[in-house]
Amino acid sequence: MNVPAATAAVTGPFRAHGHAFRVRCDDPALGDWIRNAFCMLIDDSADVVVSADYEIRSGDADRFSLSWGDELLAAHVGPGRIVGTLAWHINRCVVDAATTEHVVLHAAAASRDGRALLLPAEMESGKTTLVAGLVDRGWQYLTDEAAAIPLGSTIVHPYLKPLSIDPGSHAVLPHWRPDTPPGLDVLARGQWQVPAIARGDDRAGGACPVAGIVFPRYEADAATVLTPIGRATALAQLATTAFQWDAEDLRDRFLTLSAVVRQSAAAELVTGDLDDACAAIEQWWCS
Amino acid sequence: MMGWPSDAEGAATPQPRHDVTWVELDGEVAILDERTREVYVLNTSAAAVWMQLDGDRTLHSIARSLADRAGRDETEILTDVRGLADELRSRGLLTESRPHGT
Repeated sequence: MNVPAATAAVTGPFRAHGHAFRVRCDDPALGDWIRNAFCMLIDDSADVVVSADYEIRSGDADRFSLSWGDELLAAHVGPGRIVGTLAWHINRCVVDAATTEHVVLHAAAASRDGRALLLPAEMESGKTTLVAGLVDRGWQYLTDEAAAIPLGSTIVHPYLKPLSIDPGSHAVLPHWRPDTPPGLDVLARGQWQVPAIARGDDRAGGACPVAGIVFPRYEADAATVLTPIGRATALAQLATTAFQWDAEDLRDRFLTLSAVVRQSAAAELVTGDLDDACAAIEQWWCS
Repeated sequence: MMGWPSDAEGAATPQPRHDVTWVELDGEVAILDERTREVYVLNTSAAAVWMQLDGDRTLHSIARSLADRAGRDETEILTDVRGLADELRSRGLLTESRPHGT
């Protein structure tokens, strides 16, 4: 994917699951960086209706503020905090927008040969690191945060946000380090925001049926063990990762997930090593 | 644990509550309690009982059918079936249908 150079302080529109937005930034370098980080969400189609703009304003001493419409999200913070807050708010809005018509799982996802693998887990379980490792092995990226499955469907739809790679994973994913312009090197020190196409133009996946579910758990120094689990157990675990599991149409959401697990193999993964984890998943996936 | 009001002879005829949804997956059962939003999993043995809790069959008749199928003692199975039914009821997943024979 070629990303055209920014010509104005307004970038976008971006869209994911009904959340459409633009980003206004009075700092050209930061605005360009954000546009590149979120480039896989750019949507130039005519039917995009932007609900509001994010606005980033620079202040004294490399400090910035971030607003969403009339709502002030952050004030007098560095660019790392601005980008992190922006990514967090976009995620929240995307999930809110998607949950009316989708079951949205707190999960990473990747696809291969037109079949999707879900990696549902809570925070700090290694979802992003694991999906980055799979992308390095040729898988196509679908999301590292929120997997959306329309009610009544077994198809997972991509949410192509940048991968949010925590500092604890920088050492095992050094090749994912984002380029930063002069003065913004702080964006390479905290949580990295990196589009999957940074690892290849063909790394963006499309909507496809779920065929596998692996519940990952990172444990430092743990040996890698992948244990197949039954579908009923997988369904119960999957439900614990669903956003808004208190909706009025809960029964429909449960039945949607039951259809997903019915056509999928499922396993739990404990690992302390990224290469071993990816190898175990690929061996299981091909078996 | 308290038993079913009409269960002195295994005559209770429990059934899933109306706000419980369940699916069978490879012989196991996953149950959604819509009130608490919790999902329970029953292994194959418990699932075999659950799938017969239809409000018509008594615990006694369920135990008899399982005993016949497994070649086991009916009394022993009835104890297990009643224990499971009590557990499921305590979790709010079952309600009692009409007492058998009334």
